Amino acid sequence: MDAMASSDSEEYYDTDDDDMSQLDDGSDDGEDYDSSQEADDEACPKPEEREKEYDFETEADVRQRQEEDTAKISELLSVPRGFAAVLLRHCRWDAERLENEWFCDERRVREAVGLTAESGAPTALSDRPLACAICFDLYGPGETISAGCSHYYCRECWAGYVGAAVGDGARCLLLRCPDPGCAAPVARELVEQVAGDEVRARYERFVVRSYVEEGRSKCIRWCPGPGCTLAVQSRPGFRLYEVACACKHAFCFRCGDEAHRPASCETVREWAAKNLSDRETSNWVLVNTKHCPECRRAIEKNQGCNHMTCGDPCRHEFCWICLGPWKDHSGGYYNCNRYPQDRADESSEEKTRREQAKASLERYLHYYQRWSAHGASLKKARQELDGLEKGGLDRLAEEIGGGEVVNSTELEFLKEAYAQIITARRVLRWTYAYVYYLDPEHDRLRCFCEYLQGEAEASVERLHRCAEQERSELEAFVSTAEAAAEKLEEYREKLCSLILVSRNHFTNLVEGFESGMPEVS
Amino acid sequence: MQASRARLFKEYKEVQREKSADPDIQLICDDSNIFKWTALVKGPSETPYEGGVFQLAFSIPEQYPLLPPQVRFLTKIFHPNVHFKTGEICLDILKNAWSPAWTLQSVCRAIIALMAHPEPDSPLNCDSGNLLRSGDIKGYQSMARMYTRLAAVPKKG
Repeated sequence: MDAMASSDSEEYYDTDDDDMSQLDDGSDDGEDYDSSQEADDEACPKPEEREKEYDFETEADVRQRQEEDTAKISELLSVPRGFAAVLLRHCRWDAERLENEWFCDERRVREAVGLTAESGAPTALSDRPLACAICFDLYGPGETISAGCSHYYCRECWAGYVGAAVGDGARCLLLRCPDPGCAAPVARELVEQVAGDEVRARYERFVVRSYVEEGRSKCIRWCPGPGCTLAVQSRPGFRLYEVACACKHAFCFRCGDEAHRPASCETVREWAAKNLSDRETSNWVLVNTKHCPECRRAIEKNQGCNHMTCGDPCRHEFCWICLGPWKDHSGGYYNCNRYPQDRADESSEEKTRREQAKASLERYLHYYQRWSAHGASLKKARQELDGLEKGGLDRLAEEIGGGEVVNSTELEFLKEAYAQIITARRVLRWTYAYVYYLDPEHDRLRCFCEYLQGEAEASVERLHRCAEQERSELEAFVSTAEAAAEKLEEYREKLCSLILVSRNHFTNLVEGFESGMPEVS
Repeated sequence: MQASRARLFKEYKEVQREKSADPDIQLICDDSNIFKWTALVKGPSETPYEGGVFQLAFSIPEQYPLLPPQVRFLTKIFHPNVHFKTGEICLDILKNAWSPAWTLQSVCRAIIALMAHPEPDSPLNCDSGNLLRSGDIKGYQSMARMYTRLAAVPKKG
């Protein structure tokens, strides 16, 4: 299957955008962005079709390809299909590697998967009466079956054995003959002969999943989106970063995480670890607590009084402000308010440490708050887009001029606006992690990044506001059909031009951040 | 009849028939419950367990033989792969390397083999594992022998 990428899928890959000067007349210049919507609104015309960097495949497509690979190997090595699959899996579904290894040292490859030189067929029936070695019942000739080796079991015991392994998970692909001393692989032919429909279907699914998950040479990945069963196959020659699946989940092809351009996979991992780590907690302790001058315990002040009494068993009484003993503060000795000429309030070492920790925590919080705020807006925009797709557009068309003025397909540009908001928020979000990890000494680079970030942020805020606030004004606008149509047209033009501006901003932003901006470095 | 019951019944008959086949192992089925067995195994010769008789308790799941039996030592034993307090045994065939082709009898044989060849790198009894790992064979052997004498050698008279 060659599924179409949805409208927001390719804008990251646009590299031929014209320069920023054209941004403001976003009405007729269609070359700047992609849309796979059947274009029906003139303000957002369909751009040239760009070359796609990846294809979507369903489980059935993957299975078919896997079958073809297996059939080829089966023929080439003159082994049954099931053994060919076992051999291929052993070589991570890399046919070339298998061929090389096989023709270099056939015996070694065979041994690795438990095939002997005598292994002929993946299943064999016994020609004499035998006791099944699992249930110990006696069976007549042809009633017990083996994995091609000399250990025969009855069908029921095989079914139980295979069923238990398949129930356990992907280890069923490595299943061997039940005899502890025998390595004969349980190939697909045997599974098909002994297992019931349900077990067989599950087994087949593990086989397909293995092809995608264990296949290293294939440039293929399952979409990690919830409930999505599509696989994404990158086309030869493309180095894929991000994929927008047909299910709308955008993810990083390399790490499988949520899409995170322009931040690198490593940055994302570090950032996630940082958000979880208790290092930040200890930073908090450092900033917000002082140590009892007697017992060095960390103390958080939770009441207003500065007369501190340390907990049991220390019970030391001291002043929170100057950390001196409280007994010096009563009577005529009280001098905490006087600037100490010759006495350090607390050891300067401790003070520096606290100040540093505070600065570092504040810096982190600055980026974290913005990162998570964009995440929250992103989530809301996604819900909004879902709503529009699930009948929201129809309702809106009803409301504007009583259903006479527009039909819902003419309002598709609203969906595009939200798709762009989602993309933009996601990129912005990750620019904060990106900037956080920039070399703090490198002021020029950081300033430039922040400038780009600020511009992009302003543009997405304008777009988001227009899509949200001004739309509700539009909905509230009750008048003649003619006036409503005019107002709508005005709104459409404005929103579409904002979409264009935002697209350009973000394309440039991502490219700029990813290039590391050599011009300022 | 349940598959597990049928198979255990066959194992029972086999054990009755071949009582003298393996003099080191004596398998006894609980009178009232075919899912509970005990075994008496002799400590292998030329090991610190020689001369001892060790009692094992088998608890067999309903999915047997697709799932392994649970086995533990009832007799105290000082061995790297046996928990000193509970008698739990760390042995691959009782966990992920189980195959339905194993029987209670062959499990006993595997346990005897484990007694003769401890695996100090995956210890359930760390003290014992550490003695072996640090090369103190003598220390391990004398500890193991002492516990064999204390717990596993039948008292005379």
